[in-house]
Amino acid sequence: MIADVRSPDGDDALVARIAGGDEHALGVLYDRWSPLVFSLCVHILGDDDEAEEAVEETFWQAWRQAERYDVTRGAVATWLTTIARSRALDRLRASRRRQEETMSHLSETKRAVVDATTRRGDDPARGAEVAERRALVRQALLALPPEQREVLELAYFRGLSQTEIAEHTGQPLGTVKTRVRLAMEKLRDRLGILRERDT
Amino acid sequence: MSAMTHEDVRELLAAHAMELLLPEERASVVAHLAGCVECAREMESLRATSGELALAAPDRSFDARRCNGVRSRLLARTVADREARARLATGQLPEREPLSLRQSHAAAPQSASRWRIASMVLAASVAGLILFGGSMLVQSRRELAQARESEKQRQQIIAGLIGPGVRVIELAPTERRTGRARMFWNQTRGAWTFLAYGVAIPAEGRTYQLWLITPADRKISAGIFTLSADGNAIVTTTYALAADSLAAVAVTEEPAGGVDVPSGDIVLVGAAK
Repeated sequence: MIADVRSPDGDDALVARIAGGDEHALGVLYDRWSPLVFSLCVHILGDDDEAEEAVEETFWQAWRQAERYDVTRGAVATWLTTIARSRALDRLRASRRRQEETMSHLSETKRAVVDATTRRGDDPARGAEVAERRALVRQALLALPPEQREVLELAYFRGLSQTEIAEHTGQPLGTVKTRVRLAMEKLRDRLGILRERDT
Repeated sequence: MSAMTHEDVRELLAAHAMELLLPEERASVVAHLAGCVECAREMESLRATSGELALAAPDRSFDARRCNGVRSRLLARTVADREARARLATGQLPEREPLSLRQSHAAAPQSASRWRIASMVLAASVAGLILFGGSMLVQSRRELAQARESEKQRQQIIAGLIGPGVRVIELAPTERRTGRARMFWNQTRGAWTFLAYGVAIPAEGRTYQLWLITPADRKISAGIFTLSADGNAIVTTTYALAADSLAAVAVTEEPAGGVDVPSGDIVLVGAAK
């Protein structure tokens, strides 16, 4: 997702050190990526306390599974956000089961990604590269038709299955599947174009 | 599901990248990917795109207190975990019976002196408490039971360090003293976990005593403790204290057996922020 710096303190090197039991490396990785991981978790969970726990679980899992990290399968940041999304969605689903208030929660998902991203226009000083990447992804999402953007939001941030998305949107399952595929392919292509334009 | 064609799989790759497939669909796709370079390449690009979506989450400030609290808890857990791994790797077994943790769950007494008596003090090293989950190393039933108890203790200790309700107080050494320590205060459960590392062994006839200091300068003893040979210690206990009633945590050097009011030098101290 984000280019690694192949320095001794680069993400890959840090994960290798973590796999060797170096907790200081975990501290550096945490300092670097916990703001992004927290933003993701709090967006999924909508609760700061729950998000805090998900962040802790994410980096604990990274500590325990660092040996299994495969550099050829994506950047460290992608690996971390994949873990974070999974942990946050586990909590979200557990919460849904407990509270049995799925419908009221779903109504909030009408706030599409773009609406949500406009709530805060500021990117604090956490690295120009991350801010730049964020802007690119938001721009690429904006270029998608709203119905395609919506399925990505429901799938990625709310953890809904395609069947659940179909129920939520009132669209046939086949339509939802097509929208997911088109949205992902367009998003990938659009991100590629934006990256080339910026370099 | 019957075998999918190349075209069938292509249709599903985006959903697979988003982890949206049903188990049987996923199995078919994974099987196809293992033998199709073209689909594998497509899959990687879609997976990367899926990863990019994390960046679409609105930026939210991770406030310093939360951020530092998680960091401290994580690092404390990693130290415990690393020690356990090292012990597993070398096949070391405990040198003595682990001390029971049961006392630490007694109802919190009201007075400082009663609390001191009731507090559970572990005069064992960090490593001693987190020994192995490796029953394969254990030969006798007694040792197996011992291993299970140690693992249980390790889990209890780690559980005391986790969660947003846990405040972390960092203790630094005073002049000419060595070591460092952290107090984890689970306010919800009234549980306290004190971890010390690299502290010098006290002189003969002397001991270390842990204190909670209130804003009104009341000094509440949290018990005496001894160190392992490598200068480590864990103290756990329960004691209810109001959220605004802690100003600092300190360790003093006292006569063996401890005192009701601190009289010796301060060895480690940290303010509760």
